[in-house]
Amino acid sequence: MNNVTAARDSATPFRNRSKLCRLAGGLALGLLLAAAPAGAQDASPSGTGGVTGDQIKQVLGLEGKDAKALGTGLHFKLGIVLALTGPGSYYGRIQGNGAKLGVAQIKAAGGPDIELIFKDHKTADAQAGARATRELGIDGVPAILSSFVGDIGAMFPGVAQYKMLTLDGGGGTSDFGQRKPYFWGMRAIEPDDDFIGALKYWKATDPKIKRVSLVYFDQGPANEIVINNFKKALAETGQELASTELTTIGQTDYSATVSRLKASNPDAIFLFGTGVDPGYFMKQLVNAGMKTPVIGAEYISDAAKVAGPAFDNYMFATDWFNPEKPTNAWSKLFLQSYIKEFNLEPEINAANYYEDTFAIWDLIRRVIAKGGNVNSGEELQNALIADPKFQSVYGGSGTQLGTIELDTTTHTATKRPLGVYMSNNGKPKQVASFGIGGADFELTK
Amino acid sequence: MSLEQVAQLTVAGVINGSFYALVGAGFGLILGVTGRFHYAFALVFTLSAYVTSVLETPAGLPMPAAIVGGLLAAIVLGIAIERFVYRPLARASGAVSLLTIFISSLGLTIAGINLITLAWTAFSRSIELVPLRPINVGAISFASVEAVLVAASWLLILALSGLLNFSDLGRSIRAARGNPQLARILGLDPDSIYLSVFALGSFLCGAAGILDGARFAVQPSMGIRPVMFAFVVAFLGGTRNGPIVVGLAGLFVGLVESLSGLFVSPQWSSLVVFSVLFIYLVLHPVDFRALRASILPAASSPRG
Repeated sequence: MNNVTAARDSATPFRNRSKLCRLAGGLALGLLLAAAPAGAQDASPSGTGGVTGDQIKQVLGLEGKDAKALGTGLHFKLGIVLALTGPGSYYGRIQGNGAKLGVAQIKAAGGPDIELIFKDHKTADAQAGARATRELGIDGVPAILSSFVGDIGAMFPGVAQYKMLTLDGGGGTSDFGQRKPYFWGMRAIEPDDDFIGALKYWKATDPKIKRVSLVYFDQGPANEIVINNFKKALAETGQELASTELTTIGQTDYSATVSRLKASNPDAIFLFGTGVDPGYFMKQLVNAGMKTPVIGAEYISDAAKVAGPAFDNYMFATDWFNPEKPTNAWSKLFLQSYIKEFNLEPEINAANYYEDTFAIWDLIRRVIAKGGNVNSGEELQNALIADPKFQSVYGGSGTQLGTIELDTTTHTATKRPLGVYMSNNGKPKQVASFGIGGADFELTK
Repeated sequence: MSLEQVAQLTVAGVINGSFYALVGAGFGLILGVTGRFHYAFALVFTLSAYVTSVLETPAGLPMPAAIVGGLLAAIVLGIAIERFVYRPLARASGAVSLLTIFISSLGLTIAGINLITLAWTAFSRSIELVPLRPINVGAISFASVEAVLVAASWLLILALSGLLNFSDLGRSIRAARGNPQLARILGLDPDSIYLSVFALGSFLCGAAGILDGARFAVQPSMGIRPVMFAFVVAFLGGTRNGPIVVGLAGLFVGLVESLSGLFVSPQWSSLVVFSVLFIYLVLHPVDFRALRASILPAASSPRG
């Protein structure tokens, strides 16, 4: 046996081993990818979720409108600045789904061909938000759907400079985004309206709750406003502040926060957390043996997944979209088409960006009716100011659609149904209802 | 400040510190022996947690099998990164390989995390390592999974220490870490030692990822923060010291981070930890020349 043959022979088992390794690797990869949740993948943006244009026109009362009035054939650029990456990427994904479904259904109903221009603010990265706004402005985009209250304020100057009508259905205007040129909040004031609803709920159901702690995420200069507004809400309901605890977006370890809460021993906790953060917080609070009642400012199913059974103790007060109880014909149509399109139940983030896309179409129709230029953010805003009211998937009943009304001075919502909900094992159950500013508070019978 | 609060924060510090000890031991082993600034440690950490979670829930494997799958994935990925990315880069870039490896590692992490998101979406997943329940000792409480985390972390650190001190492989690794040039002269193969080190470091990293996933949740960016802490712990513990010393540095970092909550908002705890690192580095500058020296011979050797 020469050297070459010997080398070849000695290498053969290694080659076989290498083949075996590759085969095993391929099998393992196949098994893992097969287990990927294909149902949760985004569907094609052209999909309407099985809804026809006629159904949309009927539910919105647009039957009989001609193609010109609806904007057929128009091309409209709509910027959409979301948290596509970073700890809040859950939001970006779901909000994007809502907008994509809206765009497809609007086109099917004879509306304009809306081009969604996605930009990533990387979860409250101010520089990314400012850059995205500048790019959209340079691109001549007349309108934007923003999130994280115009990426925590960084979009305000650009939006005003380029006169781009901006609707924020993620955080609304919050406190710090009010009265900003071209910037409008398309939901309740977060978290102020939630504060008052939660405190009223505790007052009505457990009068022993007097000392309440506030756990809130860092919003920089707006932190002081949040604390002051919480104190105002406490004064209104006759309760007092036990302590305040500052957290950061994307925080996972709350051991120190929980320890400090234990020391301040509040009767209840209001949690102004975002995304999946409430899930991490509740998991550690419950595992630390604390049974203090908690009401948060929002609920997303992913947070419930993070917390597991610890989320059973969680309640939340906000203007939430309840997929278990769609209130009007449009809500039902939205619900069924969203499930069909994305194989997911929609929640507030999908519902808001869906209806905000329709609000943009509404404004386009109004500008067309006046013979104006739909690609002017200024004209779109003028149309909004002239009648600051839009149809909504929230509220209403039967064929009577809900409405969202805006204050033309503060740019915040003046009409929006809110509620207090129990987490209820992944199927939130409403226990109280109220309006903006805690108006008409009522326990659910 | 009550005694109960100090005790509770101390327990939280021990839990976090044990976790930092584990990731620090893995990261420090790789950095100390190979001189690779292995930022893709974050990717290995994340992948092992994902694979365990996916094998547990949709695939329906029993937990021990899922853990083995997750650890294997970590080891395979770690070895593959060294063999197919770092080693060729080290050969090609010579004196500047520390930088090129760090940058490629960063890119690899970003790409890998995005691939994980594409494959399994950005939705959070869970790992049911043990039934979650609170454990109360007097006024102090912690979760059952946290007790497992502390025990597992220190067992793994002790096992690594034992392996490094009492096995042939361990002696080779220590020789390569102590004096790589002499080790080479004595006939030790740096390539295979580096691969073994990556396998061991990735095993620890994978274990930390699974424990972290069980404690919190499994999500694409879960590895970023731990790798930052691993970096702090590895430097504080000394890149040429054994895993127990590095582990104790991790415990120290955990306690500093947690007990700082007595004086400042927990939001600022990371600032406190990195200030400690900053002060340490000012007082004990890292000998980057020594680090580079451990890479250069590998880069210039015929085999790698």
